Amino acid sequence: MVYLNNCATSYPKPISVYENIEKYIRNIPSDYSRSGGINGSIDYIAKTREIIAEMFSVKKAEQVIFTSGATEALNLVIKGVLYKGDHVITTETEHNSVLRPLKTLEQKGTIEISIVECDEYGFIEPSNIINQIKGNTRLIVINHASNVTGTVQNIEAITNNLPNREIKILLDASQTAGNIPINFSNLNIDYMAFTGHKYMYSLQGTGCLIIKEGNRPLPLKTGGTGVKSNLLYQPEEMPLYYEAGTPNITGIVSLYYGAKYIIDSGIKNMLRIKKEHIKNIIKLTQSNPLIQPVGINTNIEQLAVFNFTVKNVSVNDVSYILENSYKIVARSGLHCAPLIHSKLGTQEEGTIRISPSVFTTNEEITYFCKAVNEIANAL
Amino acid sequence: MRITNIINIDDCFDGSGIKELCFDCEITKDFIFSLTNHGTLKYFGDFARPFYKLTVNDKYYIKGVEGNNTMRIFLQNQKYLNDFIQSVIQ
Repeated sequence: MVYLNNCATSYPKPISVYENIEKYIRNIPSDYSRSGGINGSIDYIAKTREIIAEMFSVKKAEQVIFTSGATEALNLVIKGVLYKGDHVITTETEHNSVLRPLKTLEQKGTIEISIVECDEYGFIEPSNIINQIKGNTRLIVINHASNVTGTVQNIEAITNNLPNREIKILLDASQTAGNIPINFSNLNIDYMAFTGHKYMYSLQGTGCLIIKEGNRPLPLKTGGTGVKSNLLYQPEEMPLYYEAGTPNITGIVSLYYGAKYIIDSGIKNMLRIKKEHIKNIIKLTQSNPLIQPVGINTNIEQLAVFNFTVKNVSVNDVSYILENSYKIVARSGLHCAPLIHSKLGTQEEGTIRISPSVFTTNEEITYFCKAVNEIANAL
Repeated sequence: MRITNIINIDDCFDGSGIKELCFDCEITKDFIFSLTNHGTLKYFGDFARPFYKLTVNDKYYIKGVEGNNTMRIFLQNQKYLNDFIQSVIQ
């Protein structure tokens, strides 16, 4: 199989991820947050918090909260900071993990939402966000990079032009964490949510919320923390306030080794390799007028993603043939981001999205291009 | 050939009419061409593994790859699944 669906879930993972997960689950369970750990074991929770803080230039490791993924992290903030009458600004590029919790609160009459339009590449003009700010604007939720077009937003141009810092910024970094360098402190945002199973090379069911000091959303869940068990209320210190329940330590182990792999390999070097694959795809398909790229603009900052449709052919048929005839795994459809497609002209069926990994080979890219040319020419 | 399992397929849109039909044997070229009796067949033999698509007007379409043990049916209405099984498989 040729796997080109890393925007959804990265595969393969670095060998160190596989090896250390196995090593961890084969040993006696040791949880430093519960029992103080077994002599000789590793406190993966603390180590992973530290490496995530290091990777994203977060001042204190305790600002890093482990979650079950980006969806939980985003929900934690959305449901933890908004009150009746608040106004929220978000964008057409958002994933349903943002749109659905916001629309649910809107439906209940709790909040009002302004959805800022993007252009045909998925770029949001920062001034269009600033122009939507009202007296009751409480939160801006913005995708760092679209999971459809890969277009990276200019976050500093938003945060630097806010009229006041009572308006909080929640960044969905699901596509950018582990994919491009991110300096949480310099971005001047309040919250950053991301998942582990995409470009952080970790397991599904892992993720983080990074909270800027001074912010304190209500927790999404309360319960056991393994410490201060005499208290009948949730301990209020970070990160315990947000981490009720048994932690997903196996997932956290994968997050540690995923992060370590990225730091050791060099995130810029990894991105260069992935972008080279996209350049080759463009080069090997651009002479075929039946293959129609969507949302690609080499003059703006975009992640290593190639979206396309094939003229007069269902995107579902193309991805089905890729997978079943050619053993190439790609993703077709709306990619859980329904609003952006109206700007891309792909609202009927969506697109076919190709997202290579640092482990993808040049031969695999050549094979994909040969396959898609054959499909486009035949159908 | 016999259907051994019918799996509901989730789709980006409403996938309630999409089923993966699993067979007890591989789909052969002869079987694929026998489908011409039931609707409009398109067969693409030059792909790495041949792809086919049968459209039965206003009822359903199916698609699959020669040599697989499965094919996918897209139903306009659930009741057409029995039509397909009775007219094509039996």
